[in-house]
Amino acid sequence: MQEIQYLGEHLVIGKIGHLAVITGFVFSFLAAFAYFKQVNNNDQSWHKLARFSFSLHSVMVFLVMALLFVIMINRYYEFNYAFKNVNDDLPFRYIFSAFWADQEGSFLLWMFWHAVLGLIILFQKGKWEAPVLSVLSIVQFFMFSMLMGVYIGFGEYSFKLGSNPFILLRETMNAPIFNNADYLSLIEGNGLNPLLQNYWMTIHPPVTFLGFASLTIPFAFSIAGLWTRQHKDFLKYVISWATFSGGILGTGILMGGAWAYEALSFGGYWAWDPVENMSLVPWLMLVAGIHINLIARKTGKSIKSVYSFYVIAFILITYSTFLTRSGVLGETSVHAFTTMGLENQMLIMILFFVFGSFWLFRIRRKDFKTDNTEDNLSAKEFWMFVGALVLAFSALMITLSTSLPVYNKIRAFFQPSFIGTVIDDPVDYYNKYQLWVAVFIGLLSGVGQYLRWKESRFEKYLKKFSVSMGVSILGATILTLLFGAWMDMQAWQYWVLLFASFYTVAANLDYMIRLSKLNPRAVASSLSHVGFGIMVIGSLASGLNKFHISSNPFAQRGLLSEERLAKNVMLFKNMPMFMSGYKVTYADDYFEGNNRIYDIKFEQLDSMGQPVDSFTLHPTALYNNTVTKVAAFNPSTLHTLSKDIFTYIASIPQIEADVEIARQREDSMDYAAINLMEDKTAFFRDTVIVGDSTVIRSYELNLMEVIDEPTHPDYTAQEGEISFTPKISVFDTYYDSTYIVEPTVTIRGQAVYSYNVHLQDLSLKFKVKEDALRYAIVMEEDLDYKTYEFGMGQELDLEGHSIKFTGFVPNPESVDYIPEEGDEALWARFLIDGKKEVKPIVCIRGNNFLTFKSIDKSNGLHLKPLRINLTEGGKDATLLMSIAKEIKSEKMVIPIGVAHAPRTDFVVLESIVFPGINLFWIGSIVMLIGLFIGVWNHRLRKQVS
Amino acid sequence: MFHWRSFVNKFRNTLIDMTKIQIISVFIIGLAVALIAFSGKDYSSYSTFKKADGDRDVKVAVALALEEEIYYEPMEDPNLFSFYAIDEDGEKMKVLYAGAKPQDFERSESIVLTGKVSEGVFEASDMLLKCPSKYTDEEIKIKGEQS
Repeated sequence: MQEIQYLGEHLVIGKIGHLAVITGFVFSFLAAFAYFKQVNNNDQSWHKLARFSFSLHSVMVFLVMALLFVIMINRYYEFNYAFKNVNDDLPFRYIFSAFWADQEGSFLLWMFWHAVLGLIILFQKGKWEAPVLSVLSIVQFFMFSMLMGVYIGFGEYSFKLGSNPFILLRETMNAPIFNNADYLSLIEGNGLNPLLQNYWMTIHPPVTFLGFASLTIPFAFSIAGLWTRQHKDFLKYVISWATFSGGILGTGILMGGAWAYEALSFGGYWAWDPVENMSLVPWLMLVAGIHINLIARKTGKSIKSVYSFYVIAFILITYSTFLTRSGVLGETSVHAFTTMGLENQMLIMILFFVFGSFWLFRIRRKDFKTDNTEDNLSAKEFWMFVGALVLAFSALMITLSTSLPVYNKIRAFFQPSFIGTVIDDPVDYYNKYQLWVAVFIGLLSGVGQYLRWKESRFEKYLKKFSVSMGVSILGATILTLLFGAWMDMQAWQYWVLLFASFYTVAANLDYMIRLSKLNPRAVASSLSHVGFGIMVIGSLASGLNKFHISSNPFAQRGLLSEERLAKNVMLFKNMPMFMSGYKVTYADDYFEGNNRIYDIKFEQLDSMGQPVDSFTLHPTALYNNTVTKVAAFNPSTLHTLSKDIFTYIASIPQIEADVEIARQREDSMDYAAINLMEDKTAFFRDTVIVGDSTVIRSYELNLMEVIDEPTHPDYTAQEGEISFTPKISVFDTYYDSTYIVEPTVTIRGQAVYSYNVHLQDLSLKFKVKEDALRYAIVMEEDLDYKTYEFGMGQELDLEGHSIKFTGFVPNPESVDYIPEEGDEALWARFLIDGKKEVKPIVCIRGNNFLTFKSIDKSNGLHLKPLRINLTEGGKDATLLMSIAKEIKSEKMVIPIGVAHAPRTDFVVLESIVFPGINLFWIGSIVMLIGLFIGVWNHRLRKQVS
Repeated sequence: MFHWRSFVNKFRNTLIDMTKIQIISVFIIGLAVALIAFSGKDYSSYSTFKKADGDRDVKVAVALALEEEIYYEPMEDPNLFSFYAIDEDGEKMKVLYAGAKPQDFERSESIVLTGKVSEGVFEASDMLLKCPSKYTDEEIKIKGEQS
């Protein structure tokens, strides 16, 4: 076979990119090795090589990212990554989103943050640089291996290491198109999923991946601490990295929730989706680890637990990424990527770190003597540790439940007949257990603040403690009762949770203000706990008391045997519906780009039916790039202080959603043929099926006149066309109401365009047939022009009409007249029969005098300007006109079509009220602020000590 | 030679020496595993239509029967959507769902229904659609072909 020389490929950039990957792979290993030697042999001569290797590997990460970006921005579709994720129409601002929408890009984002954080540690030139970066380099080494795309062979057996981000499209599949040397000019990329084309996809992944990457640092410190046996020093340095990671990862997770709430249709911010769960679980372990870290710094005990928790948190991240990328989650998650085939590699990575950590713990076990002193139940550290264990419990429960698909796969491997099990109702299931986790956290994080470190004289302290407990319990009880009066709590368990949440708010505020007088360390921990409490309260309020405005009172009609909540309501345009205390109207819809925006007007009514509040929401239908089909529906939410109102379009008529279907419907539409004549009424009978019966409705049609300019909203005038528009009155005999329709038929060149009118109220569609055009086409030769002279304001009686020249009007516009620079053009305005305006155009262009005639179609008058005569002195001007009247030889018979067409001016709407949901966001933000204040505190302390 | 007595002694001493915290830790792990293992009623196997006529909701993995009627007339009832589905046994049954027809419903490769059978019809309280992935598409679209 002859080698094909392909046209237009940019192979060099791909080769450089692949080389950069291999270089990074090699140097990350070298960095790990060199740092290892430096630490192990206490040999500084390795330091320079180590730093150089680490820096170089970082540069490789940046280079690979940059090259991949270039490929995507330039739409080099010969590269598989660009083909999969970009297309010609993708706006530039979404190239970033597209970059990390896929496996290789998201790995690179992660590695990018690793490199950045590692370089920060490198430039700090601390004593921990060597061991920590040695570990970090190993992690990067494993990650680079995911991007290698290199075949490794042992004799007959070969396997592929990683997946090269720079692989060419034609290397991934065999398709006949690649026999064509010029295939590139024929193809276009797939583009980015429309649901990902928004600003959230630009900001949420970078923050979340920074969260993941920053979690590697406490892990690296842990390995480093165990390795170098600097246990006390470790505790001091790792805490600021751990709290930083907690803050960033928490922010990333929260952003994911905010995105889901703002842009997705399920109406909420957390769905216990496997990918959501597996990003939360490491965060829980990290927070637990931070608490034990604080304990260890204060008491010198539990150091082994600190190591364990940070190591487990990191292992969970690697497991989390395995679940997300391996495809094992399949049907159970909406987030999961399609598999890249790297499951084995990821498993090896996980096992390496698991066994490596185990081994390190084992060889260092003698550093940690078991402490047999009794646990002091009145000491702060005991209950803080219990709290950490509760968080670990939560993490364990979530991990086990989310790993159900893995269990299914493993069991099916041994027992092929096994059909997988799946959780029935994830939301119910997880909430059931996590509710008690939250109760314990609420109570412990409150009481714990009142206890003292290494308590030895609790009896003496008991009085103060009781006062504090009394204050906080009283405060919590009052708040709980108040809140419970406002909200429907539904079950006793929720009351308990509510109390526990208010308890931690009350106790922590009391501790922070009264007892600690706003000491920064107290502020950090107290704000975090207060934030947590408020977050749970917000979650209870918006979760338990959410209700649908859009419940349809006429739902189901007994077809479903159970009471299932009706979520949707149908709204006709401009027809308000009353529901759940609101008057809701579908007011308008219009396009902005490929977004179709619907104006839904809400008016809240009081018990007398008077409006007390009104607002408009704008849910949208996002169409594909060619605006032929709906790709997704996006919600619109009103945010007020006490509640949110979430609105979402569940469905629109098929012919509005899909141009193909609209075309098919129109082609198959059954138009009845009717001939309209002046002064003669035509009749149309429509047979409609309503439920089980048939109804016949009668309509009277009359031709009113023929109008000049088409009024159809889709019509735009073009040069050289001829159109015909009858004005038809439609009288509905049943309701005694009259409607006017003005369908248009137009001929442009060889093509005939039909602008049909859909009369929604009557479910009728009207069209005027092509043959009617003969009344519009009048041959110039057949016209009998006569010449008339008009002075300014002069009126003449001609051809049965009064025609008055009212003057010249500047800045004329017309389809036929295309202005050029230097033109002096004017409208010559005529008034026919005192009411009809006709405006032919005169124009002086250089040495030429151009004229454009105007036609009064309804009266059949053609007005053509000939010349402008200036009188002596140039003051007055007269206009010489050529005017002809069409002779109607016969009475017009206009053929039209009338068809039954069900109305399409409706939307199916879902609207939910979320009371108190702001508390959830406020609470989470306060919690994160507390964490970040903690980061600040620890950095300051480190500088001081 | 296995020293039975010293093994028992060692085990007993470990238990005695365990701190409260360590006991709580073990308890927590045990509790978590027990709750998961014994919460059988929270799980269901993927079922078939035949086995779905009990009281509880089950999950049935089905394929859409495209040759049968897919009915959604919002003007009649915006919360009634019906179609026909075929389960793993090959049994075809009508499915009713109390909601709107999801976008691109016809393109679903497979659907996981949650619900139960009632009077010969499967009443679904929830549906999870699996759409064909763009990335496994073997065809390459030719530019300009789409108009």
